Amino acid sequence: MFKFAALIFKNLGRNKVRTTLTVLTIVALVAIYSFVCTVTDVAKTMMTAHSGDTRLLVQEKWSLPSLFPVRHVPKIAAVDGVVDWTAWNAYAGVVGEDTPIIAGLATRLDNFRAMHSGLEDLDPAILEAWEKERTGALVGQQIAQQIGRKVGQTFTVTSATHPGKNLEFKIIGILPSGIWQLTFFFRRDYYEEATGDRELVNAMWLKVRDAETGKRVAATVSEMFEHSPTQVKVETESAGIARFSGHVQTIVNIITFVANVLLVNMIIAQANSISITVRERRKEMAILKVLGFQPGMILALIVLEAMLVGSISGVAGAALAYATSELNASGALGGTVTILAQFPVPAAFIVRGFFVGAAVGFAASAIPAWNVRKVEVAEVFVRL
Amino acid sequence: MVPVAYSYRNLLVRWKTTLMTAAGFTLVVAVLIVMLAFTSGVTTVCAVSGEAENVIWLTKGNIDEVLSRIDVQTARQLELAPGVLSDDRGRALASRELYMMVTQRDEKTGRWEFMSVRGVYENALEVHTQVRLIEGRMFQRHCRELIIGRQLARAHDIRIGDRLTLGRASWDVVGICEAGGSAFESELWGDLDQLAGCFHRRGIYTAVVLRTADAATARETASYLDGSRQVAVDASCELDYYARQAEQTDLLRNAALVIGVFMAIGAALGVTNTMFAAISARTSDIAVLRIVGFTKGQILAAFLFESVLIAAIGGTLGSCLGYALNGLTLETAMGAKKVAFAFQVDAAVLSTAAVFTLVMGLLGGLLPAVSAMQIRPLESLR
Repeated sequence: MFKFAALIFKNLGRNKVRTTLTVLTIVALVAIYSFVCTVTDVAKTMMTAHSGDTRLLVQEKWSLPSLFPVRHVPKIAAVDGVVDWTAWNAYAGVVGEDTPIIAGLATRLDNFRAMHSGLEDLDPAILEAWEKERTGALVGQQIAQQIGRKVGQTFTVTSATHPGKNLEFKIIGILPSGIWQLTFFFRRDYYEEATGDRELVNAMWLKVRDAETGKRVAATVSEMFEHSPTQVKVETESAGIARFSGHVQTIVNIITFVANVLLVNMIIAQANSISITVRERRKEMAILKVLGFQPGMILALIVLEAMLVGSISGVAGAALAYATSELNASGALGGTVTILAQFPVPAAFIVRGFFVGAAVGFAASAIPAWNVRKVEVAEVFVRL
Repeated sequence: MVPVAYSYRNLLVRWKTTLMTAAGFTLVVAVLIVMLAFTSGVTTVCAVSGEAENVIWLTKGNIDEVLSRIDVQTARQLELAPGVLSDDRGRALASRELYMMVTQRDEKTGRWEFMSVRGVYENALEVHTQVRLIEGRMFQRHCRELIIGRQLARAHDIRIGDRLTLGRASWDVVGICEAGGSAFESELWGDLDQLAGCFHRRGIYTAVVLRTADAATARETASYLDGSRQVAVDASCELDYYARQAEQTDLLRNAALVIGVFMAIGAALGVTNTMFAAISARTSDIAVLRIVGFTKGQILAAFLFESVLIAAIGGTLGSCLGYALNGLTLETAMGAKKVAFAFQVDAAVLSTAAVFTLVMGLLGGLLPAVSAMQIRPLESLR
């Protein structure tokens, strides 16, 4: 067995140029595959049920931007089965003349971590600082860069959504990279005081015990306001995100198509390399047969060699993507690429890279290996 | 004279390897064309949306109509701006508009989805002259009637006489309009007051569009009120407004190019692999070519030609696959809006793909060709 493994490793070193080129090809393709799949994974994770079914989104039923009376809020919060809740008011505008519009959300401070997906592990020290600073804002990394501010600095937003209500904020923390890169959060009490808007909210989030309770709460809340001038719509977090994602479904479909094509591309690239290798080694395969190697062993030799190259390259490609993503998030690349910061490649992708590479190696080598097990010894030696 | 026939015949002899290597380029080019055709299609929709003579006003800071909120008093002030044309009754040719994304349950799938709805008054067609009714009639004032853009009608199979539920009310579709393939063809238009009442938006407009005599006047009017301290609004020529919307596809275009580059690296390395293998199997051929008088440069050119030919075969197949998408109409997000667009595989898209293919073919073949050039004839034949 050990000798068999040694043979596979030795074979890899026989044509170093080809092995290197094959490895580089798969590294490049797995690296970009990692980025593309991270985007599709984030979209799918957000749309599929997990915590999404225990978090409900309440909005005005018919139009966007959603607006419903703040007097609905305590009534909804009091519905049996609601464990916790928060309300959002959107506030957007520009900082200076040359920055793009930035969007903020006024929200409750006391249960901030519990009510916002992806921010459950936020440093408690940041929340303590937020409690002391009424104008405090938690700012997405990308926004901080766009407006050129750091923690401790202030910025004033010329409002696009609340004409004449220009608010000043002090940055008390930067949000970790992820889906909140282009958002900033601030306190509801500050929003209400500064804008004078105590009548309307844009959305409300409810936390419920389980999915079954969620369905019951959704039905109760919808029914409560059925005859109100402002009806509301309740949906699970995953369904709400799926609806918004439906808006960009074409782009998601294109990205998914690209990810699949990348996989096929990897298989073709490696299959080509293996086919060449196998063709060049027909004589050697014939000798192995003469020495007593069974066709199955020769097949395994080729397939394992391809899987080894694939898995090593897969790990290297995914690690390259992960490292690039981390460097981008830390700003060490001399600037932050927005889309990379929004969809950071997780470390777990390195393990996935191993399996993707191995699977690609298997798929790429299957046909050439199947063909080589049928090598006729006599036919090869006649040609010598 | 470069031995072109020799290169070409070698590709035929090794047709399986040739096709597999070319397949890498086929995929690169197909993916690149799909992504570029998408951005090109969306950009085209933006490019044909709006008119040079129109000035659009949004609340300061907004780049999209959805979040903009203009009150009645500000709208009145805007209509007094210099350069605004008047209609035959002497009123300013200004279209007050209420743009909303309305959620509607699809009767077939049961899913909630967004529809673009614009509340306007009867003078809207005089301001947006590119919008014209092609079937039916204009909606009547104070009635729950709608006219629908051609693309939206086609995408959702909506016809004149259909009744749509928007909000709590039912609305009759009375006309179908076209607007030169612009974003307006993805919208529903109805009476502003009826829509404002139905969706609790009374007294609020999202935009005011003013009609001026020509593009130069439009720019002057825009810059005049943009600098005004009396009204806090952002003014821009309608064409510029939609051009800015198209900038949102830049991210995807850049992503397409980055993905294309990575895939092209893979394809180029595949060609390098193939060509190295081809050269190692043909050292004696190359030696003979050198002995019969072909120079090193001609050998280099022959192998480069071979790799470019492989790339070109793959690229051509990829272009054919990508071209199959040309004209396919889908809906996508443009800012907060949802617009219908057609994949556009035009000359620019095909040229970009061709340049990608040829450069990668050349780069991929370069190292093997240099190594072929350096083969010593006598040693190789021993």
